[in-house]
Amino acid sequence: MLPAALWLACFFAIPLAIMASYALRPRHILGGVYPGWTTASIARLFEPLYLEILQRTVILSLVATFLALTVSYPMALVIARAGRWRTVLLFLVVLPFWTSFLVRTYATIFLLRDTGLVNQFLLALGLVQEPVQLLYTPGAVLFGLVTGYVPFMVLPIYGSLEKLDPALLEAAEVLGARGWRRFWRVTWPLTLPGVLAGSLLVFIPSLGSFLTSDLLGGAKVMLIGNLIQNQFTSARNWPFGSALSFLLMGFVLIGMLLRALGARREESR
Amino acid sequence: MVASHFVTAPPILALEQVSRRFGDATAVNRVSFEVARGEFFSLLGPSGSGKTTTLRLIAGFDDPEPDGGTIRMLGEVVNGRRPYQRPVGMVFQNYALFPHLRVADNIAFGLEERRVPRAEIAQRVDRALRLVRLDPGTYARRRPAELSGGQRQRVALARALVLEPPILLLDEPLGALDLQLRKEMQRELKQLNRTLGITFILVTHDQEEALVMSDRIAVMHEGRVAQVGTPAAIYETPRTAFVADFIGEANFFSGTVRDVVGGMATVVGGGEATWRVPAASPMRAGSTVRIAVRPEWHELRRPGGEMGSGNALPGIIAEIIFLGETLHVLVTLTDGTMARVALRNEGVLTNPLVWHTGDPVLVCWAQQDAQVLEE
Repeated sequence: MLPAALWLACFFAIPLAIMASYALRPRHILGGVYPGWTTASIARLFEPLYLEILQRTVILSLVATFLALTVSYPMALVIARAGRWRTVLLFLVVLPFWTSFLVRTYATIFLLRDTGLVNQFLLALGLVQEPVQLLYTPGAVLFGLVTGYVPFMVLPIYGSLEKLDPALLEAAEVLGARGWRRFWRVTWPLTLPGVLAGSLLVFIPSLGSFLTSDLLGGAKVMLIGNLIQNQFTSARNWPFGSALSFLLMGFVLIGMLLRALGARREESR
Repeated sequence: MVASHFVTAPPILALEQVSRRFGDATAVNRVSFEVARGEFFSLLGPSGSGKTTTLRLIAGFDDPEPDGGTIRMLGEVVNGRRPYQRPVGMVFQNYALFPHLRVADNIAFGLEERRVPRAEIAQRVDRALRLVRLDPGTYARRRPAELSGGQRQRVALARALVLEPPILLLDEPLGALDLQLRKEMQRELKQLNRTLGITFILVTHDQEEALVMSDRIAVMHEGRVAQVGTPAAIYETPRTAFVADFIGEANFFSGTVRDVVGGMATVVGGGEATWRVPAASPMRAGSTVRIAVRPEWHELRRPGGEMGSGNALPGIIAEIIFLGETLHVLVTLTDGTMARVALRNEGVLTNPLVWHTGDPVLVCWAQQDAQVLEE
């Protein structure tokens, strides 16, 4: 216990406390902070500009989570029913992790840019006369987030599908529930824990993402992650960056709280 | 109507030459039997005997091979029909209750799928719970996780019975319960079968369970039906060594027929002993014969006493086992095989046994008490 507590103190609690104190101190123009206390950075969080960025981030993350879910659930279903191909398919799901996230994001650029594969394909088929603007759009950021995080969604859903007793599906079938009815009444509710876990695993990193929006969204799609990065680097406003970080953390905590409440309700059933 | 008393009621379920292979393995091999309306019918066999596959074929989770026979229910061929298109309900081995639904919602599941009106559903769920002796007020709102094994069993029964299926399939329904509860449920299942008039088809590997509850039993062995009959017929006249051995206990004796005279065959067994059995049709001098004798059909006698017309094999008592209501005496016969003789316990303390380990004895049985086995 003690080593764990020590670890948490050194690398989590103390840095967090430092961050918290930075958020409440006056800004030093060269980075860092002056002594003294102020709530200026906190107040700045509520300026419409930043609220808009926050709103955009949350909405984009929710949409990314939803899209990842709609892609991942069928994938997990297919894998769970794949018999001896299961291992191969699971391996393919995890395979992208063998390259760095950065490299994968750059690969997405090659796919989406004006001279990229998608546009070449569309042009060759004559579906469009000139390249479609795909890169540097919110759509590109979504695409990057979804493709990047889909494995985090597939694995927990697959896990709960795997645990689902096939006898329950048979019981439902003898009782008259088939196809979609059976899915909504039995499979879906019993795999909700996996769906929730996967959704959090996609939603939380999406909220804090900055690389994807930076590379695929260009300057047009600023997310809270980019904003924080800016504050600590080019803007050299560490107090505001800290305040933004805590705001982001608040949202993550809300998400985890919802999950914990869901889990408790699940248990009390 | 045509004079209906000339027509016997069609069986509610009939399997004709039903086969199912999985890859190279034949799980069910040309199985045929008929079940009458209201009957309590058991498929009894060890694991891997094909009994569960047979039940799944009946339920419709699986179908026979394309040319692997037909399954009829209420006179109609049901091959290819999905489970919900067949007149069956099912109780699963581990109950398969929906863990996310309350007891009442589990039972209502099938009614909702059949678009039964809300008010009627509530009524029927209530009635089904009472039928399986669960108080609706106490249990309706519980989740399966909050129930004991026996209560889950009852809910699973109620969930199947609420739809009033003509045929109820039960896949090892009592396997997970302790002995006491199992005996209680055995009685209740039998009673439900009688009072509801629903045909019960039970899969079990427990011979006692099958004997206690069934009107008739199909003993399965290696994908085939070894014998179909009433519990008494199966016990008293087992047709094969497997059946004799699987249901109850049996001593087996084999030998060669010396002659057949007047319906009785004289057989020379191992150790030069001879015995006589009722002649069966293919028996003639020189053919080999195997018979089964139940331990309680035997009698022990002292050598040298009066023999009468029965059969007797000499041996030496190897062990005496106290089993409560019976005593089993293990006798080493002269050919080295063991025979088990069951004696009624008439109170060994007040009435000490006259037999002791090491005593020479004759293991006797009446000539008609031998069951000649098919090869």
